[in-house]
Amino acid sequence: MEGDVQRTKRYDSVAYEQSLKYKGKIQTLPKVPITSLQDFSVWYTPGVAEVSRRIKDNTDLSFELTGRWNSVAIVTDGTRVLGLGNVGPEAAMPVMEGKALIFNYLGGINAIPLPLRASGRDEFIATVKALEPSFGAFNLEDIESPKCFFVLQALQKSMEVPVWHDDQLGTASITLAGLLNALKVVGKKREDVTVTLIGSGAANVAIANLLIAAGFRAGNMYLVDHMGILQPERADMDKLMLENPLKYDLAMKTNAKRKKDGIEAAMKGADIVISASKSEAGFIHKEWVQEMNDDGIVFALANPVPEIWPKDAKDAGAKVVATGRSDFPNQINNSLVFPSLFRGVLDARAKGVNFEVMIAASEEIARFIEEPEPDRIVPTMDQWEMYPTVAATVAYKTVELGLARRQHSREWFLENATEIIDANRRIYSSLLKTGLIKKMEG
Amino acid sequence: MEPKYIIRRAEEKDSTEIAKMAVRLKKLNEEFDTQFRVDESAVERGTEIAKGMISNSNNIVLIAEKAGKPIGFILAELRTRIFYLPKKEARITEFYIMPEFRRTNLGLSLLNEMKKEIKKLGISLLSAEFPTLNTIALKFYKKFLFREIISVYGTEISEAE
Repeated sequence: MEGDVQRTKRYDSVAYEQSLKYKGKIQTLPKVPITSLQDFSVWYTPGVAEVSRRIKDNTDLSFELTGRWNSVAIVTDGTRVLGLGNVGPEAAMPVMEGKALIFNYLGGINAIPLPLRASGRDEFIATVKALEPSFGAFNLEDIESPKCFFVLQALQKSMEVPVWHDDQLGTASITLAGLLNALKVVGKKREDVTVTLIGSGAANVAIANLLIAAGFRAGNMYLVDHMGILQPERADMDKLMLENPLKYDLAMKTNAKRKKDGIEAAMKGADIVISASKSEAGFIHKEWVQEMNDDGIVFALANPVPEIWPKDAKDAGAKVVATGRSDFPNQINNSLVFPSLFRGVLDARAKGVNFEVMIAASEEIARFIEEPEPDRIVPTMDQWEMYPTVAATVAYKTVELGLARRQHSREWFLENATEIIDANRRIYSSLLKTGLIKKMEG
Repeated sequence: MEPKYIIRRAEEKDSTEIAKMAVRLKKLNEEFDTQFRVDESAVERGTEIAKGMISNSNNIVLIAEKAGKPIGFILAELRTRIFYLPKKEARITEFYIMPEFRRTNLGLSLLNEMKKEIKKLGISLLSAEFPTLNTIALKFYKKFLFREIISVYGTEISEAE
């Protein structure tokens, strides 16, 4: 039987061969009828001038008279791509194309991959801000930490459309959704549990902050990085204050017991362990899982190889185990969040996104599992009705929070999102059926 | 209720703890400019250096503590200004607060206590020096109505010069 390592290698090989064949994953296609060249008098000059005039008088009309309402920029500098590290913008493109594909297929969104050669923080921020008039929302992707925190914060503050960093916010949202159901499985309450987060990069810093916003107790949390458990008296705190203020803030408010040492000490007595650190099976030792409280919850999220194989974690006593992979139960997968979250904010023409919106999305995703079980705490990607439902919840939440440019009922948003996603999928299916998009061989 | 901190004059017995905080301050300064590279041999002699700071009659050293645990300190050097008026100046050259006690107004309390101490000595000018790129310190002092009164510029002289 094919093992986990062999299966990973096979995917690598197929991905390379198919990329050579298809030469990119997305393309632009007209969406308006062109039956003769005369039609360009409407779609282009002279008619288009009137559309421009109207938008000049009211720039919000750009959401109604152009494709801006459904356009998302996927922006990266390629400094932290998957588990590969700083591969540069060109090498980031295949990943961003893949993301664009998921945006479109699951959310009916036109997402444009934009890897930038702008490695400096200020240059990157200025470039993204300059792109604001063209897009309804921005998805930042695969940017190294702590730069990603500054960039996200600066752009969220200064832009009038939602800015999302999926490695932080998408991972945090689906993790929260999974945890809500995992807690139901083990019969524990969020305000009572002890949470250990291994790795203090973009994902875990965002997860910790979202969990606190959702009612988990900051003092019951332990964040661990390469220097050990975060705590205010650690020698590197001043440096952290300057270089990574979000992580510094967490060091100030977590770890009420002032635990020191490393992962082992942090896992002892934990109810939940969330690891987003080293892609190496065995990085988390079975013995450490044994030291957790009864009915432990372990999320080993490193890709492609989790920090502990699910079987090992369960053998060591964990009740619920989740990973980032689709070939194990409980995949903590951002794709369960970002297509519908963006569908929602785009449909509401939202000006921003925040933790309250994310919590609403996470709770909606969690509700899709009516009776959670140890091996079933999050929906799977083929639960198609989830996408428009979460989108409607998100859109309506932005209305409630005063972030929406467009005010409608939740029912209206549900119908709207369903229609957009279905229509997009029908177009794609017909291209596939007619052979205009060739099927993968083998 | 949690006990509030107290601020008092530092004594010789505080040398070790003052030294620890001073080293943290110097390591922080190291982040701002290569001209603040910390000399590890001085770190090793930290307690001795702190003892000297505390016993120096030209220094005022105040320490803040909570439940007996030091949480911050401030040091001002008393200087004579030969050509200028006022004749005396107190210059804050060391100021550190442990991370978890920041944003609690402890900084302001230490500053106010220092003002009281120098007032007792008839000194009316309080100044502060810190690395130019330490914008956190800059913001802090500006907030409490300090303004720039002198600039210090530096250059490294190369071997060829």
